[in-house]
Amino acid sequence: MKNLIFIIAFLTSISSFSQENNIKHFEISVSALFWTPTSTHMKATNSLMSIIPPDSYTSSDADVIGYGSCIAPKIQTNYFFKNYLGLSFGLNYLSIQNYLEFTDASTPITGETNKFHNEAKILNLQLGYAGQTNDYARIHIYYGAGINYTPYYSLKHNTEINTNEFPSYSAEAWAIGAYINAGMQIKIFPFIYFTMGLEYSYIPHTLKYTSFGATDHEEKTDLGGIAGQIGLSFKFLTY
Amino acid sequence: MIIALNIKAQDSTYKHFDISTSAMYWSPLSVHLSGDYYTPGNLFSKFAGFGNTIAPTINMIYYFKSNIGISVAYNYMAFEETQDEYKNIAEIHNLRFGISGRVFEKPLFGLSFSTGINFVPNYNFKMPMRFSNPQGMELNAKGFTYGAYFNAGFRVRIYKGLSFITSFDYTYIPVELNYSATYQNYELVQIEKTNLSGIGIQTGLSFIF
Repeated sequence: MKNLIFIIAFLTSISSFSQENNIKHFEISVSALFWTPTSTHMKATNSLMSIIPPDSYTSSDADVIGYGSCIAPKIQTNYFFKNYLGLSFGLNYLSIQNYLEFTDASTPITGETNKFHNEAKILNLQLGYAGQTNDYARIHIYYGAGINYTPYYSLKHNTEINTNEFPSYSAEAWAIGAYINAGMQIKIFPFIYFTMGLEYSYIPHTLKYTSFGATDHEEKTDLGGIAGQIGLSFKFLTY
Repeated sequence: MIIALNIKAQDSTYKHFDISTSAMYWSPLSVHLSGDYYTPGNLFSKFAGFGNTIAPTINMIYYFKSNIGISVAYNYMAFEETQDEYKNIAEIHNLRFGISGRVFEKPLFGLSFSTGINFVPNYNFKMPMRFSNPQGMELNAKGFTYGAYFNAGFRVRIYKGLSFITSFDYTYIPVELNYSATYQNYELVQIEKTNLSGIGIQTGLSFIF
């Protein structure tokens, strides 16, 4: 307990010192991104229609396209030379599942299960400029912009019903784009801030889908999207 | 007394209220809501999509600190989209509970941010279908859901506590719409996993007291 009190007191003192003097300091943020794609190709359709006639068998028609939205974890570190001048490095990971499974009683083999499964995994590294208004204030604005580097993405698409092969076709590569973000931070403890904001990324890219090792088709799209951000930021003095 | 309270509120050092009324031009981000796809089928055909809307919004913020407050907002979205003989209509009621903050407060200018829970106590989607019969039928989905909202904007003071406000709005609301319809003895069920997410531009007036 003594150690904990000492650590808190120490962090509080260095945090206050850094804030009052507007000197170099670190900031680490952990947050959740409420992410939605902006391109039509990445947006999801997940539709199942069943027609139940009077003779009680069911006829179904399904449609699964694209990938959709997700809640993604994000970690970001900022190093501020001054409040308005800092370097930012962020990392977020999007994992999206667009999955549908149903049994169509009208198929030749009664009870056969149909599966549709699209899956997207996108890792984003962000390197850029970061700034903020008065750091010593209880509430202040942050803003940033920079390069969004996607070292790895994996998009898997399955359009076949009852196939044993997953995926029917897939695309894996890297991409590069840009991001901007802005938001607000509210001090809830001397060195802990509640963070909320908006982020937009633009990652134009041509996806090359392959199927069984051969190029199947290409798709020009945008791997970026728009996201709301909620999290906590921790500010530390550096010597 | 109101004038006195208003003057105090303008000093931004007192607990105060901020009430605003505005119009939000809103555009959905999901394929199902934004639509523009048309699916003529062998057995049935339908037109999907509900389009954009302008939603009246009322928002009340109680600033318990000079620039940090809690907010409650309500807006009503009504949609109508037609194509050929198809006409899709929808309505969404949004209730928002969140935290709001103001920064850069100058005599004539200020920035504001807000985020929180977007509760949809009631949505109602109606989508006509034709099922080998020109009279057709109507698929209907009702329910409730919830998500998150994010809002960022600025205000320009017009007169004392009265300000012009404009902001950018983003919502994230995943939902599973369960449409159903009956035609003669047939029953149709359509399950649509989508979202009520969207972006909006909001303009209006706010009054601080």
